[in-house]
Amino acid sequence: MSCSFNLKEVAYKSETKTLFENININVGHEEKVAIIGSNGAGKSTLLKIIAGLQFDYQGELHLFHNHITSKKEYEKFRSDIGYLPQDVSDYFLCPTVIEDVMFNLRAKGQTKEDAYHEAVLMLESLGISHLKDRIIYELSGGEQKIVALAGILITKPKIILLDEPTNALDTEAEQMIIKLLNSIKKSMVIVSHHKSFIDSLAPTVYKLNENGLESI
Amino acid sequence: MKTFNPAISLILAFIFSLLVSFSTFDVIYLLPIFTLFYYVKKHLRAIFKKLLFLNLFIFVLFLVLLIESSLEEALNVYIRTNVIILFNLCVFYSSKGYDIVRGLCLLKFPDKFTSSTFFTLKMIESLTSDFKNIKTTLKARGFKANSSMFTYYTFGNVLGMLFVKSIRKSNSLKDSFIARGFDGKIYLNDEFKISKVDYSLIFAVALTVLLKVVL
Repeated sequence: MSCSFNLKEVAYKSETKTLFENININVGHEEKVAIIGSNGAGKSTLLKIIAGLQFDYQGELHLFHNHITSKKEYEKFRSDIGYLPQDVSDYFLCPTVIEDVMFNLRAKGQTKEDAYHEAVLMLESLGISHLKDRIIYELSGGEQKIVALAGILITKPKIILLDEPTNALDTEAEQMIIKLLNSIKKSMVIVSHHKSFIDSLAPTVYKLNENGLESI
Repeated sequence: MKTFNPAISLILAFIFSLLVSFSTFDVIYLLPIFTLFYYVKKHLRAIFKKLLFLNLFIFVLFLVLLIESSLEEALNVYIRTNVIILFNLCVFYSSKGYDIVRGLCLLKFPDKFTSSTFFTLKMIESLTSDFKNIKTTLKARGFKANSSMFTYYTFGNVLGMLFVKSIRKSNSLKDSFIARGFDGKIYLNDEFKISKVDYSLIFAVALTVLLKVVL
């Protein structure tokens, strides 16, 4: 299995304590991995390191066999990484659902018409086409999560990083997300507390503690 | 409800506000207002409710002017302020959200200015909602404001919390910029279409300007 990314001896120290160290993980092509851990263990921080949003760590990050040593180097692979934060309220960069889903395509230079067509198809596939013209900030937390996911999936990233994706979702929406994520053949790292969600999605589960990742 | 072209709304609101600000009150100013009333007739009650709330502040202005100058001057400023606010409330009431941003975008304002305006509005909205939540929490936890040190400490803490929240929000917005490849531009789907509704409002404002300034 070719490798999407790996972390070697990664450690993260905050000003007061060591959050985690000795993180070694290989995530292969189209492999789905889940990370669990107690509150404050650093799951979100670890995901941010992989997402290239945090560079104050020790150790090595390799993306598609390339050793990433700077922000600039990471930027070459930015479009291959889709990152869904835990709190999606600050994720959106446009007022309406359709405009936000179209954002990445238009930022890449795609025409308005093409981007609109693709965005509509994406919303339909996620079953949220009825939200198309709604103002994002008027949607419920669960609906916002699905819209954010649409914004990620439309860019066709090679690696998808999801931080608590089922947070604030009802059972029906959760089932829909499980079905959707299972149908996506991409490398995926999911951080979640939700046992049944992880079980139905990721065959490999790691527990994060201060001494590293422990396979369970 | 009829919606106005955001760019037209923005331009007309600017012209009308400017005209009313720099002149004395005239009955002709009611022409655009009544034109707008026709389009927002179902929402007049809600609009006037908002105006009434804003009048709490305008009334203070009226009192200050009354003390410092004459009743006529104070009344003139009071009425003109209300006319400007009423016009703006009516014209943007049908907004599908962020009409100012849409207007700026359609008027080809610089991308960085448009996106900064959008994120500023978004932040204000988000912090207002956080503030409402904190107020509800205070109520739910039995807090009653009075003139005690505890009340002042609590208000200080609330302000501190809002400050910290705004910094956190700015940081996570910055993360989104990086993760989503934001290049200083937001992309909106609006097109510059002028409908009958816009024409009628343009006509009303233009006639007002003509009657007031030219004739």
